[in-house]
Amino acid sequence: MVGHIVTFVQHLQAHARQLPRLGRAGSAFLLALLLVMVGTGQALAQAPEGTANANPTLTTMLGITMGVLGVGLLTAVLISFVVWATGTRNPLIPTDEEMEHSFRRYFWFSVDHKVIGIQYFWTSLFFFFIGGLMALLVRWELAQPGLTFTPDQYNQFFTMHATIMIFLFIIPMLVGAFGNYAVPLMVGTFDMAFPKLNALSYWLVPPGALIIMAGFLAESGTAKAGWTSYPPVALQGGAGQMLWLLGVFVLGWSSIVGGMNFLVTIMNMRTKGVHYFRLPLFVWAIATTAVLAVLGTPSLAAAVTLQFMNIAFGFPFFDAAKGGNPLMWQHVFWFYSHPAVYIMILPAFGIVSEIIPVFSRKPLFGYRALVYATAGIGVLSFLVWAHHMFASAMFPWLRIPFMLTTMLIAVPTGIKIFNWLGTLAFGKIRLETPMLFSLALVSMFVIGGISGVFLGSVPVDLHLHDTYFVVAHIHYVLFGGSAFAIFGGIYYWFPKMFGRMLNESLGKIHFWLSFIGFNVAFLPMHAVGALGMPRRYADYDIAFTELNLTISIGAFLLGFAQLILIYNMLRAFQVGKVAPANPWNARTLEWLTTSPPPHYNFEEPLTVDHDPYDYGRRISSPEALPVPGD
Amino acid sequence: MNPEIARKFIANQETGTGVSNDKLGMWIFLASEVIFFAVLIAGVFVLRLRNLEDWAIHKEAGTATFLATVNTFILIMSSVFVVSAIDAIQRGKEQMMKLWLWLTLIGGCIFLFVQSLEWAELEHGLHEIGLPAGIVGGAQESIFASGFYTLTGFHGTHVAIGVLLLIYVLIRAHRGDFTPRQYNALEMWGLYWHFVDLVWIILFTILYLL
Ligand code: HEM
Ligand SMILES: [Cu+2]
Repeated sequence: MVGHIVTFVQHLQAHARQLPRLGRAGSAFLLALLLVMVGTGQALAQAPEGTANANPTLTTMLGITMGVLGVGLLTAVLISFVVWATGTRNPLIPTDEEMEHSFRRYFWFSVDHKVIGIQYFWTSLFFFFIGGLMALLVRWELAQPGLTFTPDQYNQFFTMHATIMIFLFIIPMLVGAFGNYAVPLMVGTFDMAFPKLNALSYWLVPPGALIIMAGFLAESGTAKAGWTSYPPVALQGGAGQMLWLLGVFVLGWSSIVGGMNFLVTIMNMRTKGVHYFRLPLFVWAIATTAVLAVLGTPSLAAAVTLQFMNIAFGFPFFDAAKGGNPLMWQHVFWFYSHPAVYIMILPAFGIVSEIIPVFSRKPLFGYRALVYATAGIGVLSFLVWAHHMFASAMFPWLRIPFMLTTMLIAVPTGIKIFNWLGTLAFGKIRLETPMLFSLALVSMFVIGGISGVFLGSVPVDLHLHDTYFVVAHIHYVLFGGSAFAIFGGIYYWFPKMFGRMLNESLGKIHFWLSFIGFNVAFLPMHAVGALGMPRRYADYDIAFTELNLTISIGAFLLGFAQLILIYNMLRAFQVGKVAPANPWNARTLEWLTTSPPPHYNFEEPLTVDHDPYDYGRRISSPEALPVPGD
Repeated sequence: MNPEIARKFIANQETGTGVSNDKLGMWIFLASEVIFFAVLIAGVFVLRLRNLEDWAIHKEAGTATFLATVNTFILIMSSVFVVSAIDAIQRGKEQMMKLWLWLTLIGGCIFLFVQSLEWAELEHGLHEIGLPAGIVGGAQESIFASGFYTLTGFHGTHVAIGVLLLIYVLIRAHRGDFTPRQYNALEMWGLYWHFVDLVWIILFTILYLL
């Protein structure tokens, strides 16, 4: 008997030695986490009823979190254990060989920035569709006056829509996917400064997302106070709201760790010849974004912490009746979230600054001005937060300085627009899909920026605050800006990332349907807003019926158009043309290596002797010259 | 990761900041921690201004200034120990380094222990002035107590994480990983510990002294 046990243990040990190190550490980590969860769940279940400590919503919330994460982990651990103990190879853990080449490495802890970028890419794209679904539910409700869903469900839809789109699509796509994939390549190095922390940033995203969405399992539903979560409404939220706060906290730390990684990579790991003023603008944009993430996101983390304490333990930080101050939430939240809107747009500007010179065959107009404008926006973005609070009970005299800083921030933004126009002027313009989306950003962002300036002036904002006009503004900057740039980025970098070209005709159809759907959906919002339709209500005055129906039709067209993108990508894997190393004749360093790049990005370290955008100059190398026949 | 390839690339880098990746990363991370605590502290401080009376009453009843002073002293000393440990390894005195690190560990543990005593004490204090018992229960009516638990709680969590990381550093020290030229993990950990110490000094000032 004892002998059997000893052989079994030896058997286990032998297998343990065979596991790759990361696999062993990973399994140990999972197991430890699992034990902690089971323990906490146990403790919660046994907390005596009715004591001051046992907060029923808190218990529900923790229970749900533990449950959702626990079941997933338990399955993974059990499979691993059985497979390992029986001596077969663990199917969840790729072999070293597979880690280098196979598809399966995308489902495991990889430390290669390209793999992590692609993990971010598909994850964000997945959430884009979930968030889009929520948006369509909102538009379904609003297509006609009267109620289809309950107001309570409606509140959950728009809250989850914005939360998912912002925290799980735009930010992880721009910074996580494109930033991760492109930055090390663009500065000519082999990986990020901290590859393991990079993997950690990514692997914090799925749990954060699961926690937020676990609200669907709670009896009272998900968070429903909007993505801005203002008290006192937010304090009534219960389990769903607490899950939201916890999830945002987790996603916040993912951003912070990622930001730190980008800064160190950009500051310390540029290859020879890439001095600061030879960095492509996308890299500058990511660097500025990283500063905002590192210095802004902790403010959000602190804010959600305080609100969590308030709901979970009744600490009255935001409870006016007990000496708290609900307005404090708005200050702390916007101190993060205004910089956060620039986290969402600066990388988009960066992508467009990459694409426009390549498809105009001209050097970027005013490179330094663009760099300074990017940094200037970064600094100013910390000084404008109270423009979201003009209509609140904040000291009225504070409105004037914040109005001024808000107007001021439009200046560097305007500089960028003129630089792009200057680049386009007299260029040899190629209207391929990435360029179409970039031009869409330039034009749509002008509309969004100008409506922003309207909202930034106090008297106008007092009329328009919390109406559909604000919704129009945010969609012109976030869809017309960030999302269009993301699509442009997908068409531009897809060949590099996956080694296949996307189909141009499908791309153009995708573009035109999106562009039309977008404007049909969001232009009328300016009108309904100015006429007085408030945001965040499930029903409206019948006077707004026609405009709302138009908006909903546009929204469904826009939603449908995105299926073409998916089809185009899936098709590319089957029959797409194999991508050459440099399909667009671009000059930035990621195009100097194969598509997709080898494990360490470049065969040999590079020494760079040219600027990133010296297109069309006699002195530059052949691929920088205009393509004959263009 | 293939160190040979990495080395080849690193040899061909543009001069960066001159600070090692690890140290630069740590500084950036600490910058974000500073903002995190700054916002928490500022939030509580602003609320204090609206609740001067509550603050005064509960502070009187709910803090054990003597214990906290002892704790402050211990934490400051532990920071000194870390400096000594780094100094020792720089001069190649491995045994001394281990000794200093053990002293730091003891300091950290005492801090946590005293802190938990104080939390119990505070509960008692609140109870005496007629508020419901239970750590959480008592704080529900008071901005001071809410702020106190939140701030010291988050700081305490940082100390606890610091202690866990120190155990890791100690294990490496005993494995002989640190030499006068290579003691990166120790140095990084030291930066973190000094930060935690600094936060405590601020908390001590605003929660106990002012
Ligand atoms: C020219 C630059 C901009 C100006 C002057 C500006 C101004 C404003 C103002 C004053 C508001 C508050 C409206 C209100 O609630 O009454 C607002 C809201 C908003 N802006 Fe902008 N904005 C600008 C650019 C951007 C950009 C680039 C983004 C994101 C990519 C953005 C995203 C948002 C969002 C999401 C809101 C709504 C927040 C909420 O849900 O309440 N804005 N903007
Ligand atoms: Cu803003």
